[in-house]
Amino acid sequence: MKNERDIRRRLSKGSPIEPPAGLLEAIQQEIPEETFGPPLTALPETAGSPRPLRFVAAAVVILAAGLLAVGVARNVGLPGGVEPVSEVALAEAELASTGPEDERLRSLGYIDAEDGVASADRAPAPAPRFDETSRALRTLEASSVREAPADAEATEPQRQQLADRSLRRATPPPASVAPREADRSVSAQAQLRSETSKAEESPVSSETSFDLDRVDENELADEPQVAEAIVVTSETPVITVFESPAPRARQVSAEGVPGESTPGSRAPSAKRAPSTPPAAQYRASLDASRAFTERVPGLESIEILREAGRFVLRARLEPKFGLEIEVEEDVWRELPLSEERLVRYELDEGLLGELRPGRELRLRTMPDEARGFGATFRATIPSL
Amino acid sequence: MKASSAAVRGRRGGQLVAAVKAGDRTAAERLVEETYEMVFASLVKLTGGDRDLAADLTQETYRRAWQSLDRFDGRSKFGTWLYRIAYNAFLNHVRRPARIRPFEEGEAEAAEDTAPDLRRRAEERQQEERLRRAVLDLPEDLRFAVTARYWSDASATEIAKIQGISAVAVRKRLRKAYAALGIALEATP
Repeated sequence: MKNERDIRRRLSKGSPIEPPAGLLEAIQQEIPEETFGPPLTALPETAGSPRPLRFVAAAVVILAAGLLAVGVARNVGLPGGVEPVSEVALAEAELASTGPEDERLRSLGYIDAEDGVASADRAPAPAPRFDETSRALRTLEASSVREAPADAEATEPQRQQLADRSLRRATPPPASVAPREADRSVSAQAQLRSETSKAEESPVSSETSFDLDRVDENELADEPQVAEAIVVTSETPVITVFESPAPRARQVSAEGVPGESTPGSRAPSAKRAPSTPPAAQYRASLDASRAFTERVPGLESIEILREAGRFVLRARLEPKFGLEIEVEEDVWRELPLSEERLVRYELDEGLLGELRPGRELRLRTMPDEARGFGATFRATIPSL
Repeated sequence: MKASSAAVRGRRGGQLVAAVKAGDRTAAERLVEETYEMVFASLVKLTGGDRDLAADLTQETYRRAWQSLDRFDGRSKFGTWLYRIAYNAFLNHVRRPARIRPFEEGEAEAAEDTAPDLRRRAEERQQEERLRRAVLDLPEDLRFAVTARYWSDASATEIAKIQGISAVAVRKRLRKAYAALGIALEATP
């Protein structure tokens, strides 16, 4: 065998290669105009003349000074200042404005459920997403609306209550004051998200919203057993990562239990984690992964299993679609597809680079016929 | 407003790319000027000395580079990023069966040389060709590391950045590649 130094020397050696004449010009001529960002255009004509600028600056200064003066007058109570609108009057106006339209806006999340005031600092309800978490959030929001008092039918005591509340608002609260009731639904959402993330961290959680009881283990005879399921949601499509107990199954086999378990076969039930019904978890995870794959044309479901310390991508495709993975920039590899439209592909670290949490894989569905409609999507490997 | 050539001169790849994105055509031309020799030379090696094909692929490389210039984030050098595109252009080419060039062509030409100095040159070319073939037979990850290191003159750190792995991992790959090449060259006469 030749030594390393010799190989390196030979690799480094090489006669200089001169490019053909005209290549540089040819490449330079081919540079498309759209490569360049928006061209820097000359400033408008007015920029050349200082007069309009001076006028605008003066107008801005005068306007600012006027606003400042009005603000000071309101705070100090000087005569001539604009009378601040009474908080009680505002509350009355709120009551008067409550109607069916407000109900509709409230249900959409544009109006606060508690006091009916259009809130500029509160984001509107999130756009509907195809996942269980969003559904749960929407359900929660709906329930918080139901719990809110019906302002439209406010009685005299309620009016008084509103007036009192508005007076309380006029007084700045102490620093340690509890969050406003109006923020309750937002806090509840955050709490739910927190609980959801806890559920994601925990293999089995009673807070999981999936119906685990109805799973028939016989249905899953051909599926690998799952010890851990983590679901991560983000803007990009998400892969669900499963931790398979395949290594444990092999260890059992090494100790003398016949019938070594292979990825895709069932592990001996006696060796399962005590409080972990793997089949139930698997069903829950399938549901979660299906939630986002509905958006990718041709893709029915996708998931990554972790088997014997290696990541295995599994997917089910719709008829007349294939699946490809980007192994290098703009180089795609078609993944083998069985007659049952199933893909099982062991992610190769040598080919794809380091498979670390947070690493994004680019995949695309490809229609068999060129005229079909596939889609490129990204999938993130979440941390286990 | 275009920057003058003098202002562009001396800027590094990242700055030139920024200038291109700001609408500076001179910067784009300068980028080509600074990199096309490397791209062409590496493609000549990848294609086994087919200069026409290498020239075609060089143009193709730049076409792709302009299209995806927005994705260049400056983490690696522009030249290394460009080599990655050139390498992919080459791979895409050879994966089209009809266009695979018969590698024996160059050897056949070399064997016809009979004069002593020409014979020596022919032997050198044969050795180069064997090495080139052995490099192209390496597994994908090792092959890219070797060609980027020696044919595009990228450092291990640069290769690491473009591959999304550590420099240590790149050096390990290079070492594995040397060992594999040693065995392969030993096996061929």
